[in-house]
Amino acid sequence: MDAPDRPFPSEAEWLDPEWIDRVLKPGEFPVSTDFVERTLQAIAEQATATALEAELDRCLPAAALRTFTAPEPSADFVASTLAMLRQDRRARWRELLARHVAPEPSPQFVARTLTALDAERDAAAAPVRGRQPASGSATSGSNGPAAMAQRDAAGTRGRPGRRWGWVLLTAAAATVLWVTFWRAAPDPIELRLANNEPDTFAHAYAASPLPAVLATLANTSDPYALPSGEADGVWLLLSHR
Amino acid sequence: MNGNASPTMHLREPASACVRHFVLAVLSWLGIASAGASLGAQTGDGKELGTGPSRPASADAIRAVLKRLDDYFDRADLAGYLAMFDADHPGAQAMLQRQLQQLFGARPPFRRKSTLVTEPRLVGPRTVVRVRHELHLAGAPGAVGPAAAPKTLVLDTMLALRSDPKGLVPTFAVEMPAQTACVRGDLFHCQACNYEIGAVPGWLCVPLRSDRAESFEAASFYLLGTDMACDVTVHIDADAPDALSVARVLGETLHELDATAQPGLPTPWLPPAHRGHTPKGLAGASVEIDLPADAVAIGGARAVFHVVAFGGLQHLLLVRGSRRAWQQHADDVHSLLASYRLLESDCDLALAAARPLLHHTGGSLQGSTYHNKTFALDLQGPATWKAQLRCGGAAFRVVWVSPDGSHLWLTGYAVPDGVTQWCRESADRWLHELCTRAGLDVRPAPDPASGATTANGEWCERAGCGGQTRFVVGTPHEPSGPDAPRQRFMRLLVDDDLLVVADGHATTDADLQALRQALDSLRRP
Repeated sequence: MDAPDRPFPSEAEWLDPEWIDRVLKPGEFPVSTDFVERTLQAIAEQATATALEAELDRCLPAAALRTFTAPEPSADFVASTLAMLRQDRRARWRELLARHVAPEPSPQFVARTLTALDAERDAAAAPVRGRQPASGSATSGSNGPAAMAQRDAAGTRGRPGRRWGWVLLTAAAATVLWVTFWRAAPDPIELRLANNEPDTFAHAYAASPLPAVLATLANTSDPYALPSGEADGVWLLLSHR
Repeated sequence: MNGNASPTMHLREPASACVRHFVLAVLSWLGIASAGASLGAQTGDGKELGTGPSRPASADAIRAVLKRLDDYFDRADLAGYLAMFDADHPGAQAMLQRQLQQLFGARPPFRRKSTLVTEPRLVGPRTVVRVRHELHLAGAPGAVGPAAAPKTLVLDTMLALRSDPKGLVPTFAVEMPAQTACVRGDLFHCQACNYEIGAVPGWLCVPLRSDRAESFEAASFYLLGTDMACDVTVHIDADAPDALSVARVLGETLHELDATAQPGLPTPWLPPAHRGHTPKGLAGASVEIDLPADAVAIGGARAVFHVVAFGGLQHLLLVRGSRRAWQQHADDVHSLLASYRLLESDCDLALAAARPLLHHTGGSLQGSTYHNKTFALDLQGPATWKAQLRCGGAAFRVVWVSPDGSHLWLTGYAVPDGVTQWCRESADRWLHELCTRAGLDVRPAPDPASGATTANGEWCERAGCGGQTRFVVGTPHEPSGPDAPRQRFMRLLVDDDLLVVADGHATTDADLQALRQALDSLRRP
């Protein structure tokens, strides 16, 4: 495709359904021959799925389901569900990333986008400038940024206590936020893993996360075996007392 | 102390860190972000490896520090003890805190005396010394039997200290075994496990106790003055899975244990020493794990599992640290990984996997019979069952599996560090703990030889078996699946130096007969 010389469409043009027909030449971007068929097929599949759902609802109506008492969720239901969701999402992303390589944006694309953004910003700024009164008028003098800065400067010069007031107020706000949101540093991963292990086992005191991983692997590969870890000597010593 | 209770602990931040956070918050609020960032950079958790001292601190100065630490220990003053440290490594410091909390729970309390085992030496910017702590425990008041006797517990640690103008500041204390056969200086070299790594400037090698490591051999390397560490361990898997699969499983297991750990895709990786001429049978992989919940104040942390598979022999290297330390010390990490190499690359793969097991556990299989020369132990497994040696935290483990899915496990538990020998009481206590973890109820069972149950299922001596023995039957609280064994037959054998647990289940009558015969054949001649 040649380098485009058309201006980037404005927001109003995007919303105009006939704009594309006016801009594009006939046959410039032909619609694929099976586009309509595929679209209709997708709609039909969606309709079939909706009908299936309705059929399921007739077989097992929601009213019937509501007559059952909801079981008590297990203690780790939320955590395990979230973990499964994360795992599922990660697996899907892996599949996608393994198949696709994201293309780099072309220099032309970047240049076009920046030009369009500049043009839009200029267009938006022009009416505002047009509405501004002449420089030096009373309105401009009271509302303009420069005038506000001058006024603030004059005010602070006139009342030096106000500046310290703002500083103290800011510090107080920072203190409140800090006290509210500050949390102790999270446990390091060595301790997080160790806290999950029974403290009767020696590996629950290892200064490395690896033993907990190996213990879990051993348990996973041979789930009915007794734990292969050694007893923690201090626990065994103190448990006799 | 109730072993089942796991006290909730939080890593305590020193007061200086709280003040620092507050100042940073105020500066950020006032918009002086650059000043805050600058302050954070100077005092943040990711430390700098500046120009270190030219000489190690003196032994006398270190003894004075140890004396103060012992005083805090004797007073069970956890806060005071930890406040003496300016921790290099948050994880190591947290585990020190966990161990101290356990020791401080003793009643009557331990009293400690610490001595230097080695001369002080410099590693990077720190003075390093090996310390032996002797912990004395008086007999329990009013107690009778073993509890009435005073005990002495010996713990060794590797201690690192920083020389400040105001004095020595401990920055790091990690437990290590009393015996360190495979460590020469900061080089970890094991001929049986067929590898070496280390002797890289700045990296301190701290071997791990095998019971702590869940492996017969492991060590951690710490880049002193930073929060970078590299854990090295040996794993044997007779199925010899490919390195990519091992890396993927390791990453997923870490995520399973800690949901914040986010593993990426495993990728092929080879140790730098073997990239040009890769030995036949050697394969490697690595997987990066994002740890956003660690080192939060300085942008999170990351860990990378490196797997080197040489048949069934696996060398696992876990490098971990804050993202900032990874950036600042990438060359140091590369140097450490480059120091790893196989000692013998032209050897039979099956032999390469069997040799570490024989060397470290003393056991080997001759047909279906297991013989352990270190512990002088034999068990004749069922002839038609498939036998396999395993590695783990225990002194040894062997598994026999029948074609019909019956199992026999033989596990040897060495005397745990901290107690002087096994006895019937400690064996019963540990068996109870093991069965509780496995969801089993235990009741006495008849001796297959005599057909009679000993009085109350107590321990008894059998001629020619060595030690004392006991038979029990385990039944699950609730079956965990259709294939889960419904009844476990166990035989225990205890002697001063070893507790052996042989247990199994059978799916057919023929397997049950074979299992009983195998249990009966356990002996320490």
